[in-house]
Amino acid sequence: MQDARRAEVEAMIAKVAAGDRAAFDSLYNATADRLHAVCLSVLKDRPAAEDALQDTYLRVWKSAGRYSANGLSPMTWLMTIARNQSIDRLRARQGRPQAAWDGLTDALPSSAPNPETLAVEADQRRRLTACLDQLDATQAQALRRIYLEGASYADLAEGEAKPASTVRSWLRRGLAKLKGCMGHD
Amino acid sequence: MTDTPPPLPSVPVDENDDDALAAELALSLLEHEDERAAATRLAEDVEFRSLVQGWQERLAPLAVELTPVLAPARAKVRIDRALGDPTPMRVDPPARPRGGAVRWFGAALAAAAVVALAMIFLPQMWRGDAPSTTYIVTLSAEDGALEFSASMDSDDHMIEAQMTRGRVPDDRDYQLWWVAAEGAAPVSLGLIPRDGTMGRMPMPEGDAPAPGAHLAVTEEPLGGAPGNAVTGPVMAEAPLTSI
Repeated sequence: MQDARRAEVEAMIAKVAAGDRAAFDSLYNATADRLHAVCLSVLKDRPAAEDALQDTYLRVWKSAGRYSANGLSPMTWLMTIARNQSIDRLRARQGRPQAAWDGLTDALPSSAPNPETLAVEADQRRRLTACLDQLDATQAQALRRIYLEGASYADLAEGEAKPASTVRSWLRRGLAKLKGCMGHD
Repeated sequence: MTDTPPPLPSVPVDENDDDALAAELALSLLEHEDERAAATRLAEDVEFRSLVQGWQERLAPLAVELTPVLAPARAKVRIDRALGDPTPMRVDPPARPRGGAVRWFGAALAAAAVVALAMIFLPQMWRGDAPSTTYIVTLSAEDGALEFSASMDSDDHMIEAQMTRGRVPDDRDYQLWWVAAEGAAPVSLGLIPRDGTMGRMPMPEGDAPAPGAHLAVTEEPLGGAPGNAVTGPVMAEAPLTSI
């Protein structure tokens, strides 16, 4: 996302926080198709994705006032809400327990702005793609399945025919390598 | 998953690796106690929260790779209804017509032949000095087959509702209405969810909880009453009375 675009979305969220329904409509129009894609990717079912999308925006309406305290960039915040609403529904469908948190880390304000939030998102995306390419192809694929499709360790273990704990250690190594490559903290 | 193979002791997972744990929480890979424990740390541990946020930020570009998919128009209609469409709320609310709700209620109640019982719990007085007061209202149908509960927060003017007994018919929706006073037109607060609790919704602007107000649930076509005016029978209703 361009800087100007990002500022625009942030301004819309600020107005939504003040209860501005017109700004809410603008925010919806600017972002719903992308968040719908997230819901569909996780749930692979249109009616369920529509429900998740509805939950997502009701949540946005309700939580916008706390957005500025959580230190996330605007699209990350929106994507995180959409993904977590979708994963809740996926878990319910699979008979797995519901998440013990709502995906938002806004219980208390952050002590300092997160370094990532200062980065330009297009650059973030380029770096992530480049660093995923540095990983084992199956690790990168697993990470995409987890993030975009809500795959669990058990799902991956089944696919790889390996114990879940092995998959867990293997993925953690991939995550550490990814973070090292992206060069933060 | 019950068919998860047992962990192999030869492959240790470092439970003290906070950064890995933060990534797993951000990715929704934790479940049960592990997830609860990590979620609890979020509220207490600034460092840990920062790690989780870092991972959320780091991984979010994955979602940007997805091709946007046109959101169904119905989704926005449902969102607007849940938020109290079409009356713009909090923003320069237009005056709603007063007068005539008695007719509405009388007719709807007669048509449905439902007498509602209401149980009101008012932990504190309506307009006390407490910074936040939660009110719980139970709306029951006379035959006891249906029961709804609604809670209101007088501080941030939010309301949430759920069905506590009975179920929503497959081909109809139950809709929650706010009637500010005898004679006021009902204002939609949204549809009762088929499962679980309705998300917290803002109350209509200018309508603070006050004696004389009612909550009502009506049966409406799927997606809610067309034109945002009550069309169906009242299933349950409860007045708010200060005690």
